[in-house]
Amino acid sequence: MKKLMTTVAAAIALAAAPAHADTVLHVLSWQPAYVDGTDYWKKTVAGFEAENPGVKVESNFIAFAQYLPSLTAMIASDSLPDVFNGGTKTGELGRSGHLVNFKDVFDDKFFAQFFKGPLRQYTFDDKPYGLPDMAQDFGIFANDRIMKEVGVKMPNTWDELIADVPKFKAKGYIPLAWGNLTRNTCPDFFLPLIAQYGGDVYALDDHTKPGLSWDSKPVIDALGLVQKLAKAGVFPEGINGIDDSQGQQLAYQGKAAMLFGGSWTPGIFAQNGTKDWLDNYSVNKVPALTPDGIHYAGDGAGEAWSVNADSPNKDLAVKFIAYLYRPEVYNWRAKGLQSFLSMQSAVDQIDNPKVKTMISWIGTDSADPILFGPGSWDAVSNVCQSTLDGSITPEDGAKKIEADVMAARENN
Amino acid sequence: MAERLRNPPSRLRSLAVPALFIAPAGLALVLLMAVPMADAVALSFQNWNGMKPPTWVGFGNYVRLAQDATFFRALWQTVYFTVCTAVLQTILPLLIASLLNSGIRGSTVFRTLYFMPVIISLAISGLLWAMLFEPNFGPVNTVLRFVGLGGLSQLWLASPTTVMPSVILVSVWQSLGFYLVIFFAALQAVPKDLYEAATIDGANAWRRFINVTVPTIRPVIVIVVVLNTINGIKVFDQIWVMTAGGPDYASATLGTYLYSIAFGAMGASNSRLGYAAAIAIIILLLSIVVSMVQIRLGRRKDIDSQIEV
Repeated sequence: MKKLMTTVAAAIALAAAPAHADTVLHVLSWQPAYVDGTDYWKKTVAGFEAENPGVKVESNFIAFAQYLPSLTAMIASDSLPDVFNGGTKTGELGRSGHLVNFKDVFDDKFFAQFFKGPLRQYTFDDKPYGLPDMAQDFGIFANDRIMKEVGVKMPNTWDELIADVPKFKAKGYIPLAWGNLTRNTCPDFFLPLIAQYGGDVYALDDHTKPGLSWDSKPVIDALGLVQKLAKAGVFPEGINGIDDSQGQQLAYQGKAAMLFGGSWTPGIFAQNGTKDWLDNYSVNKVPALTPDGIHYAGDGAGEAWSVNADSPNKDLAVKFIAYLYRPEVYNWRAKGLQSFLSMQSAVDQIDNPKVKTMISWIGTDSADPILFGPGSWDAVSNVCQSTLDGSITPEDGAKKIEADVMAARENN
Repeated sequence: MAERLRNPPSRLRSLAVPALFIAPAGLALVLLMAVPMADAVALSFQNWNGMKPPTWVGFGNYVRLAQDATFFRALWQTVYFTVCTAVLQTILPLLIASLLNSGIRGSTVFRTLYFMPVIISLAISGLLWAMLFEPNFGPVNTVLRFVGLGGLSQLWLASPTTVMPSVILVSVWQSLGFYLVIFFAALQAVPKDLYEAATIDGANAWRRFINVTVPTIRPVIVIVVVLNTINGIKVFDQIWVMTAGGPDYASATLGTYLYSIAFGAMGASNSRLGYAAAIAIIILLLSIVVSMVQIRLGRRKDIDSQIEV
């Protein structure tokens, strides 16, 4: 009886097993464009699967707001996917040996295809642990109808912007809208200002150069400018209580003359913007310190693909990455998404003239808008928020950033 | 021994079947609650960022908590939030339920209207109120200015002074209907002859409420207060959606502080999972201690009133 039961159980198990087991490559992203069902991604995945019989690409999406907490949980439980966006965890993951160093698998010719700034963003200790999927920079989107009504031109310097505030207010407009409720946008605004004052944000983030600290003049000056702009009424009232989408609504509804945002926002405008906004908005560089100063639009990458070094499918994952960055495959992405690019060869695929304008700023107005060092982003975003509402002086703010960064590194 | 196993004593037999029925749920509780809880306790004695192996630090996280000014600020704000919501979310629903129970017209309609915010998710209601409270052109300030009360317009969620009262208002709006329904059911069970007797003795509506209603439904009041207290101590989602604990930690509670320690600020690195676990244990201990005290106080009043009779 026992022998019969064992034979039956084995037969059932064999029947239930698939004819051949596919290798599944797990891919995770916060980009809604990289999920099953979107044209670009469907084509990309189908192409890779056709070249690699027996391989299935499983695409998973987690919305940005939940992505990094989810990634933290995956890291802690040793369940990272094969290919994923590392985000601000990329540096720590790479340095702790969890990510493939792409220099070990690709040659210099491969890396020469990328814009320098976006690639630099995800390179740590000369090791690229992430390959930028798209680039990003920041600018000011102006409602030209309102600018004309108020009678002002796009300000070239911060002082010109401050001088124009009474004109905007007289007509009932907020000069420059954005929101800092999630504490993410203020660092985007503030960090390139450090570059405008001659500071090196990459070096500050690395925090290894002797004598260099966040408690330094370029940082203090940059915090001072943020506070000066806030006190002058450039930003919406209660900016720390407004989130990004509310800031955008102020622009869409014609309550604000200008909107600060990143290069990904034209894609959002296309979905959510009002007719007045879409018909009248123009893209402009952020003001500079002096009439002939550098505008520092930021020259980084919002997301990059990384490969899990501990994955049993590591080699397949690297093959997938190589495939994603084949020029003809990347061109599908550029054409399909009409968004920012990390590869120079795809620029001709962009039809949107506003996106093309912002792409032209890459490499000329560079500054690092993302921090990867342990505790750096928290430290800067907290002080930035306090600076906006005037509850901390620039000098004390810079000291606090340095103290919080040092405390975080000691605890790490 | 074998005989005892083949024919277990009747007491054992009578326990076996109930145990079999309880076993699946018990197993789920152990796996999904007891094991993670024990894990969290163990984690609270370690330093861990999720990437490198954890290191044992003993009571180091708890010592650091004792010196963490932001933790104490979050603790104070949690107490403030809990006391205010417990008081308001007990008294207001009780008064409104009493009014609805007095036989006014449209009682059912009012109960439904009051209950409707309860069915909205906390995150959605937080988002909605964040839009209402937008300082520049949000509906709250716009209406105040329109009716000539522009002087009362505030920064609401953007100001350290008004953020907690705003968050408390949203919580009361959201939860009032839930506790109203509980109280309404309890009031329905109060014997009518008690009110008749009190009326004969010359008690007015207020005296009947204080001397008949409240003592009779005391156990329900205790439960509502305990529920409100536990919910207040562990509050997170509504506040996180509306303010992320800001501005400048002015609306940080133990829950939001725990989250930001565990996962960093939005988009940040520097997870401190062991430290966050220590905060979670503090929340658990607070909830247990405060709930036990409240239940004991509620029971003691019951015993005292029985002794007086």
